[in-house]
Amino acid sequence: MSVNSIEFLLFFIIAFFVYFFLLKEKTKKQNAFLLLASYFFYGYADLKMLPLLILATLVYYYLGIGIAHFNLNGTKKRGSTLTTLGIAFGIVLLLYFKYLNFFVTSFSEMFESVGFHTDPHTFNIILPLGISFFTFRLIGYVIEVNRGTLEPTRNILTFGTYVAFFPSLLSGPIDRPQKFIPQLEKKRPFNYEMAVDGLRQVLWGMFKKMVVADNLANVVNTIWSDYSNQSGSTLLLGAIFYSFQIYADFSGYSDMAIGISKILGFDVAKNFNYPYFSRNMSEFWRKWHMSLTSWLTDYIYIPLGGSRCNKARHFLNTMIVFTLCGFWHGANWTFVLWGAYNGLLFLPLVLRKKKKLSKVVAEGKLLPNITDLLNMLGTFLLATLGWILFRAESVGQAFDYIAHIFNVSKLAIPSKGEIGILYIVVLVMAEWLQRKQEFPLQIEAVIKSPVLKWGLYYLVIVLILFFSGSTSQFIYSQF
Amino acid sequence: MKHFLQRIFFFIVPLVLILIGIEVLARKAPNAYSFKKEWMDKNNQSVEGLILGSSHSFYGINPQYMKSKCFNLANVSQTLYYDDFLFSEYIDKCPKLSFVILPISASTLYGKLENGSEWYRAIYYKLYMGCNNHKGLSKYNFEISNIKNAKGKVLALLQNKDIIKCNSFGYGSEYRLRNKGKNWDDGALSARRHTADASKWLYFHTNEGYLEHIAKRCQERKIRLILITVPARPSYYTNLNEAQMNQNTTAIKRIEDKFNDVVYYNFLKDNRFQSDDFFDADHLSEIGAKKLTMILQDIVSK
Repeated sequence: MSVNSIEFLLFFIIAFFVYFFLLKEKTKKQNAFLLLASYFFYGYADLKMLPLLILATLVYYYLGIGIAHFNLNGTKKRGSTLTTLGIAFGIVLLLYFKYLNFFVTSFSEMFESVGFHTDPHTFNIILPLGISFFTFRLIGYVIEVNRGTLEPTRNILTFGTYVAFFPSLLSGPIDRPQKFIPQLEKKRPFNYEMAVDGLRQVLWGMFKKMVVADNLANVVNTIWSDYSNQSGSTLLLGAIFYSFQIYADFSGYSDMAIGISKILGFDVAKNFNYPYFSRNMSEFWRKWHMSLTSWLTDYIYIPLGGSRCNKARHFLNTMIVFTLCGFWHGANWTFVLWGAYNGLLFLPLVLRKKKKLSKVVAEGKLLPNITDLLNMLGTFLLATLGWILFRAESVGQAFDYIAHIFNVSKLAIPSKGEIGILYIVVLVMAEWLQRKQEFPLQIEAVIKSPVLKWGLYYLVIVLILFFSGSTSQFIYSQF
Repeated sequence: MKHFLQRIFFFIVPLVLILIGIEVLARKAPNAYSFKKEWMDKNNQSVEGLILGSSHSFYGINPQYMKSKCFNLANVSQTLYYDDFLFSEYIDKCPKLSFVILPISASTLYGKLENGSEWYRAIYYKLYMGCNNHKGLSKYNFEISNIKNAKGKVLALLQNKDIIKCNSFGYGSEYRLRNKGKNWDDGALSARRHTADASKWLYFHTNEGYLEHIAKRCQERKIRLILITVPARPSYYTNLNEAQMNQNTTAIKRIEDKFNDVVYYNFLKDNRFQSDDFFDADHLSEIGAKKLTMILQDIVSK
């Protein structure tokens, strides 16, 4: 059940009324209901894997209690051992379900390349939905408990709801326990402002996903399915379209997940902050998939030494984090290479002195200055080159695609996707004008008239109804 | 909360009314599916031949050129499930039925309408042809599930435009030579679209079952089942998946051997069909459709 489907709408309407009318402000009952609803949501999509989610929840629940117990009793070493076990268990889950076949085939290919014949056996393993997201949530939990920054929750319903919270279960954001669990423990009366804000964010997310991403997906898929026969300019346009497709698709999902959470009274982690208005790759990664970036920073980058070391080590730490980030996305060398490529782009930033950038580009101005504009364009093109690696089915295909961009016809007029440009222009303009807000439909400060506000909402709904592309799966649901 | 629900209610009411209006008007708009059902309900006592299948026969066989009373019940992306449904629906109502023509294209045995890009066509079988396979609040029960098409139908209805898009014999009238596109002979993309990926191979046995069911009922009623593969351009058939085509041939051979009165004609590479006979690399133009229909007429007369 996709969050932009009729089935989900019905599911959510029922959940909303039960949650706020039947169980109003009864925190424990609300949590129990949220947990049930989340398991129903997960089971509806992937019933066979529901026991795995429940098992992982139980294991980490008791690990959390165990770690806190040892740390309180002065046996920190045992607490750390349990934490290591928790991290290892999460990694084993990911390795088994996500990467086992990848390792088997990669080793086999490696042996074949040096002349050894192998007869590899691949396993018929079904990838549990959302495993990358809930595993990271669980690993983060035991680390925080071990660090003493979080009291382990002793209520299994609360913990289960944190792990399986349905709006963000399948594709994030990856909520941090120290921010989310306390929200589960306090009363959550209906909050009008939050609910209205949430509805608007859901609407904007639907627009991004259904109008921008799904329409661009049609063009991108057509170009990629026959890329060797396309002109260089069409391929370049296809790459740019994919940059916007993946952004509108994933940030659209995040907006819907965050909006739904707001309606239910939760403030979940922000995941995007207009990343294509970034002026360098460091800023881009602070604004793209923010919940994953901050997870990797806190639990891998900083423990490795972060930037508080010599430049070579700093660069190595960056490379490790980005390669892992790539690998997290999927069992394919394209993702590993994409991660490493993004790490490499940090090299100039590591070598030269950090320049402090304003939080919002061209703050208070209608247009950016030339330097900011060129920096934004450069960053966007670097990210786009990376997305070719991300989109390709193999490394060879990625390089082939890039090579075809530079063939003689790169200056020809692209043969596809005129309408796609219009969608991109609408998206970029709306985001640019509202870049100080969390999302463009936060229009309180700009539009005061309720009639105009409703008119704008109706306009977005009409665009969704009449201009949405053919439904396609959320890109990040496969991770 | 009360204030919130009130505002939501007032916000949604106009939207819901508009959607209901679109649903009602879209259902009123005449279309190929309702036209075909009406025709069959009216003419079932006298019809002698039926043509089933997807766009390859919808645009490829024009019963106007048949000597016997024949009707084209094919539709774009019609899968074997719906062929079997339509056939089962009418076989007992058509006492004079003596032959059925069913094309087997590259993807025929691998398709499930609901899982493809033309999923919304399943709505039309439910709403206009009485196929009751989707129940309750399924998206296949509402025109507005595909709001763009529903909107198009409403606009056409209001502007009094023809959206039936088939002639009185059920033959698809859109693929005219004069409308042929610039890249009409670019068959690689269509061939790739018709190449079944791993998920579609799962439907093979189910579809084979529908085909077998049609053949069995034909045998019981002594109706000739003529299986054909329609002509295509080299740009299309050279890009088809060999394993898939071999599997199709094996399945057809098995049906042919198992049942009486089943014959198969493969026109895929038939060189009697030249460029003007094609609308695109895998669909015939009105000229090609006439040619194929005449050939089929000879086969039926044998």
